[in-house]
Amino acid sequence: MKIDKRIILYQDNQMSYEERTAFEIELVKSPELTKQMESYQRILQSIKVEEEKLVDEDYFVNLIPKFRINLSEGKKIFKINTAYAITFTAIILAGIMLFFNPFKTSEFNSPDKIISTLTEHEAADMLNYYYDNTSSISNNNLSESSDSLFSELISSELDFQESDLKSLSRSDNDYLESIYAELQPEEVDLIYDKILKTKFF
Amino acid sequence: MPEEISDYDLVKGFLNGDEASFNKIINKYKHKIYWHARRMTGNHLDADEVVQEVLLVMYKKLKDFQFKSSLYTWIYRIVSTRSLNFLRKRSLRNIISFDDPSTGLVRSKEDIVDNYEMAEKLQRIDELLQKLPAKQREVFVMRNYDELSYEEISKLTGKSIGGLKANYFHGVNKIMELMRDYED
Repeated sequence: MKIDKRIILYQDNQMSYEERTAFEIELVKSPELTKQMESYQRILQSIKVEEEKLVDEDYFVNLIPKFRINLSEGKKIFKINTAYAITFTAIILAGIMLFFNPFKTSEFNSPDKIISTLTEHEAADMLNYYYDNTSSISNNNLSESSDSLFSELISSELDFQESDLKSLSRSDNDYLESIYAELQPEEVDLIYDKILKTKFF
Repeated sequence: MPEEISDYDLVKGFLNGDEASFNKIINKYKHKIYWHARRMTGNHLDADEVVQEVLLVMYKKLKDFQFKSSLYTWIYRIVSTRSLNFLRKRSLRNIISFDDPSTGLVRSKEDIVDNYEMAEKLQRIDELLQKLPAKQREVFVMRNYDELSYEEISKLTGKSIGGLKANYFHGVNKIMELMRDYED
């Protein structure tokens, strides 16, 4: 049940003389209105506390010293916070530069870079590994359409003429072996180094 | 009995570098500052936090005080704003930490009131007021404890008198409802 708004206006002296008189007449006649008025007055009375009796003066005596400490610490905290903020920003910026550096070249992760870190044996093992795995893919495993598409793509990429392709297709392992047999070990090393350092794509 | 120094002289003294004048201002208004913050926050520790913040704001902003209103009105406005800000921050904290919104009241065990009976009564009032939405609580406190008129509250808060009356009416109804629950 909501309180009659006029009770609050009456208590707050917010009524005109006529309104006040009419309300007082109704108040006498209506027990419900009287009950509400008493209830409102009782509640306002019950929420009042005598603050002077409650006050622990120690708290109020210490209020100023505590404030003065906070004031001086506040200045220190501001300085510390500024130092932390600068350090934090610098760390974040360094992190961004490290991971998302827009000026960073792809050299860091390039095959050249990786290969340059390998020893000769490691590089040879790597080549053998790739040779073993890729040699298992023979033309027989590819469908005819895939094979022609693959050939077209390679020839367009390497800019081969048809005659070159024919000569390549004629060459076999014996032919390559004969070339290899004629090479001196120094020449093999030279070619090997050259292959490692050449960017094919 | 020493003659009371006017607010004007205290402010001027502080602006001229006399720190003791600021202490005198605090001593003059500390009870009013504390009790408004206490009624708004519902417990001693939170009230104390608001009080310290208010004093810092006063210290920093007093140089901008133009005497366009009384010093008390100016201070009261700071207390009111800081209390509402604190309540916003506290409810946000409660949401983030999934705490019960009434957590603030648990803190009231630490209090400045030694008398057990009075402390209990004060806690009941704190609990009652905390159940009102902040805006209703603010106008209820200003009307019933600080005995301000709607016109004064309107000047302090910048809200319309109609809006304040509506908030007060809803606040009173809620309090009456809660009190009935307590009595039952």
